Amino acid sequence: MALRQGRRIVFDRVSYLLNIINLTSDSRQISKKKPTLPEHAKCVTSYLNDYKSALPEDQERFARQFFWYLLSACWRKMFNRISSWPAVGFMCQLTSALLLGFVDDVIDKYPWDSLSQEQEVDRTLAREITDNAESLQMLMSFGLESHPEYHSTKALVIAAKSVASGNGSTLYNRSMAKEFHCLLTAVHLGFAKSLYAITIHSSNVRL
Amino acid sequence: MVLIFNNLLFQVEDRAKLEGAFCALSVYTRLLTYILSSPSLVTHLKIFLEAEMLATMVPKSADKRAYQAFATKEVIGFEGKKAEAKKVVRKRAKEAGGSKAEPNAQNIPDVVSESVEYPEVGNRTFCNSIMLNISVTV
Repeated sequence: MALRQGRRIVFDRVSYLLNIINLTSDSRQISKKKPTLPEHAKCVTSYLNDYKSALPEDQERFARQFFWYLLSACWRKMFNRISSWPAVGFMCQLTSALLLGFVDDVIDKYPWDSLSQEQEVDRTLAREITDNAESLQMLMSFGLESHPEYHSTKALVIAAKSVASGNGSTLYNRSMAKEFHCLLTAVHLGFAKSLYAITIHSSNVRL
Repeated sequence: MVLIFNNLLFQVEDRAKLEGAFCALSVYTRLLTYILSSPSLVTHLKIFLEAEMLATMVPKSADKRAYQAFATKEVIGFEGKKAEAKKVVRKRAKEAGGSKAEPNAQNIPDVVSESVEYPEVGNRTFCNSIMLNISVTV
C-alpha cells in the first residue's frame, strides 16, 4: 500500500477489491500485491494506533477508509463464512419461519405488556433506519427478492422515527416485530448475495 | 471496451457489476453490524427463545441438501466454493510474498470515488466490522 510520491496514483475500487494494486508511472507495469497476513496485522495495528491519537474530526475519515480496506481485504473470508452450510442453514430457517407463519404465531402469543420495561434503548439502529428510510425499501427488495409480500418497512420506520426523536423509549414493539424479522432476514440475504455477486464477477476477470 | 491493467483484462460490464456488488456489500455490512449489535435483536431472539422456536432455527447438517436448494434459489452461494477460494488465497499469498510496505492510517488508500456518495461510517460500525470479520459466522 505504500505509494511512492511523484507517481500517478489511481485508486480503483475494482483493482483494490481484487487485491491491492499499486500503479507505477508506467501504467502497463503494475505491481499486483496482496497484503500478506503480517502486513495486514501491521496495517490494523498502525491504524488503531493512529486512530487513537487522531483528532475527532479525522477519526471518522480514518474509520471510513479502514472500513473500505477491511471489506476489500476480507471479502473472501466473509464469503467463505456466509456460504458455509450453518450460515446458509440459519438464513434458510429465518426465511422459513417467516414463510410458514411461525413469526406471526410467536408475535401473536407473546405477552407484550411484560416486555417494555426490560428493553434497552436502541437509538443507534433507530437513527440508522430513520436516516435511510427511503433506501431501506430497496435493501429489503434486493434481500427478499423472491418474497415481495415482505418488503414493507412502514411500522419499522414509524417506530424508529419515534425513538430517534425521543418520543419513544424503545424501538422493538409488537407492531414492528414482524418487519424487524423481515429486515433481519433481508439484510442477511442481501449481504450473502452481494458477496456471492463479487465472487462471480471477480472470477470473470480473464488472466 | 476493455481496460488493460497489466495482464488483467477487465470487461467493463463485469467491472460495473463488481462495483455495484461492492457498494451493496458495504451498505449491507454496515446495516448488519448495526443489527447484530442491537438490543432489539436480543429482544427478538428472547421472544423466540421463550416461544421455544429458537431450537427449531438451529441449522442441522442433515438438512444440507435443503440448504443447498435454498442457496441456489436465493443466489447466495454454498460451501462448495470454500475449497476453491482457499486455493486462490494460497496461490495469491505465494505470489505476493516478501513485501516491505509500512502501512499506516495516513496511507490507507481512499478507495471511494469522489463522484459517488457513500454512507458515512461511524466508529461503532468500524469496531463492529472488525468483529464481524473475526468472529461472526452468522
